[in-house]
Parts: sequence; C-alpha cells; structure tokens
Amino acid sequence: METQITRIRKYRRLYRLSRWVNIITISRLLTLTLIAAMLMSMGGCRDAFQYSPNEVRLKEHESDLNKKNIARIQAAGLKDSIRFVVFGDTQRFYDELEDFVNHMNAGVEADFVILTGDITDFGLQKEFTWITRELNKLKVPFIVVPGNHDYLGNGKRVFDEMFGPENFTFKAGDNYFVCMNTNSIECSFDGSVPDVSFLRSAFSERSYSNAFVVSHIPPHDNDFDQNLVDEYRKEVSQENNVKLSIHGHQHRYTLSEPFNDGVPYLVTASTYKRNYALVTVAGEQVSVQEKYY
Amino acid sequence: MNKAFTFFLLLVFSLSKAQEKTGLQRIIPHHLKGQYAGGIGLVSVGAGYRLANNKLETDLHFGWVPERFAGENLEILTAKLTWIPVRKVNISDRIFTYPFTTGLHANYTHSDNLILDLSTKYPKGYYGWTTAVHAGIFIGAKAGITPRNGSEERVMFYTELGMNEIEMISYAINLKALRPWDVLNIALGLQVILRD
Repeated sequence: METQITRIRKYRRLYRLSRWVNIITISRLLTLTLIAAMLMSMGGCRDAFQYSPNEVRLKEHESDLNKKNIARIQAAGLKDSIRFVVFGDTQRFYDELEDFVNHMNAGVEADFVILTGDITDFGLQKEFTWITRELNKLKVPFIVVPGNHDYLGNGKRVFDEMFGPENFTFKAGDNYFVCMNTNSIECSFDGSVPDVSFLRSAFSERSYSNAFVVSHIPPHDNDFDQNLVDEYRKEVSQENNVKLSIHGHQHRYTLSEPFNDGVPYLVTASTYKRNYALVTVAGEQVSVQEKYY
Repeated sequence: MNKAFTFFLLLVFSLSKAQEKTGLQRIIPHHLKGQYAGGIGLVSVGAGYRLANNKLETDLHFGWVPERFAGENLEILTAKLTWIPVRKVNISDRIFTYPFTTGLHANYTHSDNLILDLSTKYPKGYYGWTTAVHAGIFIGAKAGITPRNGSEERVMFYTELGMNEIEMISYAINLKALRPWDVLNIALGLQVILRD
C-alpha cells in the first residue's frame, strides 16, 4: 500500500517535471530564435526577412528620390543649354541596366537621366530596390515617372514612398519639365488619369524658354484614356513652347509627330534593346539622337 | 474571435492528450507551427500533418502583415509542403536535428490592391500573372530538444532559406546583376508536436 503511494507521488513529480522541462525548452528555443533574428536585423539584413512580396519597407536612402535628385539638378546651376538622357521600361532587365549605368559613367556627357516608367515588372518592392540600387550608381541625377507595371498590386504605395508624387514639375536652367502619370489603364479609364487639372495648372507657369512633358503611356496609345487626348494636346502644344513629349511603354523607339501639330513625340525602347535617347537643348533648339550601348 | 481561437486551442490540446483514438482525434493536426517571415506574413500560425513515414509535412498557414509594413493589413493563406529526406541526427542525449529539409509553398494574399482574376480589371492577357498568388521553394533544417524523461519529440525550431517564383526567374535571367542574397530570404519557426 505504502509503496504504491510513493510510486504515485514519484509519477506525479515526474509529470510535473516533464511539464516544467517543456516550458523551459520552449522558452529557450524562443530566446534563441529572438537572438538570431536580432543579430540578423542588426547586421543590416532587412532583406534577409521578407514579410510578403507585397510589403512596403523602404530604407531612408530609398525614399523621396525624385525630390532629392531634383535638388541635385538645381544645385548644378544649369543655364539654357542642357543635355539629358531618356530611357525606360527597365522591367526585369537588370543585366542590361548594369551595362547602361557603366556606359553612362564611362563618359556620356549628360546633366541628368529621365526614366519613362515601367521600371519594374510586377510593382514589387524587391524589384524597385534592385533597380534603384543600380540607378544610384549613376554619377548624374535621375528622375522617374510611374509606369503601369509599377502600379501593379501594392506597387503604387512603393512608388509613392520611393519617388514621391505621381505628378510633378521641375526646372533645369530655363527648361521646364512637366512629369505626370498617364497610366489610364491602371484606373480602368475612369477619367481621373491623366490629371488634366494638374496639366493646366502646370502650364499656368510662364517663366521658361522650353517645356518638356514626360509620362509613361503616350497619348497615341490605346492604354491612354482616349477621351482625354484633346485636353492633353490643348496644353502640350507649340503655344506653350513644348519642344518634346517624352514617353515609354511601347518598347519601340520612335520619334514622330502623330498629331501634326508641331509637337514631336519621343517614345523610348525597353532597356532590353540597349538603346536610349540623348536630348540636346541649345537655346530654343532641341535635337534628339538615338544611341546604343 | 479571440475566445473562439482559445477554445479551439484548448480543444486541440485536450484531445491530443486523450488516450483513446476516437474519430475526432484522428483529424487533430500532428503539429502546430509559428513562423516569422519567409514571405508568408510577419508572423504566421499553421497546423499540419505528417505523412509518408514522417518524411512529409503538409501545413496550412495563416499569416499577417500589419499596416505599417505594407500600407494596409495583408492576410495570407499558405499551403506548404515540407520534405524531410534525411534521417534524424542526435547531437547529444537530448539535442537532435533534421539537418536537411526542402519544400515548396503557394499562397494567396487578401488585400484591396491585389486581384486574383486580372481579367476583371484589365483586357484579357494584358498582364501575365495574378498579383494575389505567389509560390516559393525553400531548403532548411530543424533542431529540437527532447524532454529529460523521454525520447519523444515535443518541440522543434526550424529555419528555412527560400525564394518566390518572381525572384527565381529574375535571378535566372540576370546572373550578372543579381546575387543569390538578393533573392533569398530567411524564415524562422517553432513547431510544437501534438501527437505521433
């Protein structure tokens, strides 16, 4: 009888012990996990942990890039004669982009670079950071307008945080740049994109010699809201001294005058084609050259 | 919601402690998992079964990304398959490891901005792939400590090195500009075994 009682006591003790051991084990493993996680995040490995492909977790040096680059352009003290490079649709062509950056840094004389949108393929943060990591190696400033691919999924949030507003203007010397979102297809052609009122107010500005309008989808493309083409052309005109309307999207380099109204339209190829446009502005004269690398 | 979840956990635990193999007990998951990162949530909780002589684990994870990391709350449902091809290695009396695991997962993210059927918004075939579904592959390892008074597995720590389908393709066609670390990410997890 007594031995049985001691046996029960022994088992009870063992049972308690086993429960205790489990709690200790769990807490130890949790501590180890936390220490490992902390070490890795302290090592600067934000990218080591991905919460979702759709996450928006940018670092300080990856935010507000257009504003920072415009400040660099303005600090350069440009006058009426400038040179700039236009290309776009970098999408998933990282190897080609690396070649472009090396080519530019090897001695192409330009004051800045303009990207005509679709810098990513799926609007994922990872893609944005891979592209800007490469672009940040450029010796000259770069300006980016949004493409329809950049707005896929959570992409608009990443773009807004990384580059700033979708519609903006800046000056390079006496030259006025109006940059805007024309991705009508991303808002199901509801009439809100392109923002015509922005365009109107942008051209209420008068103190410039030449104007350039930059956006991803050109008005002579069905992905641009065709109901807004006339409104667009009303502002993007010779009267407003617009020397060039600059676009991407079509993955084919063209320089044409689709509306026969004296305003030439430049459409850049995709980065895969390894070419870009070099725009030279001398006084009122604007020339465009297609270049390969 | 919280009460229901607590009740569910209590039910699972109490049933797993029961001795008789009732019909209900057979559908209790073999294990529960809690995971940090890995592309399926800041944190995710999962439950699953062991199959094929304990060489396969199938799990269903529910993950969550808070607004501050994605602009809005993301809820992610993931189906995961882990293959444990290598036998258990005992490091000491109580510490053991499964040195190699590998597997794949597919997940669906619920969010206002992500669309399962893109043809509802865009012309058919305009974009090639839905924005709400992603898939991934991984390799990893598990390690655990057995209780002092037994040899059974109770709790394991696991880690995984993985990438998703877009990262995989991007890397494959850009071997010059992208590095393996650009496309790989780490997941850390805890696995609690409920029954054999």
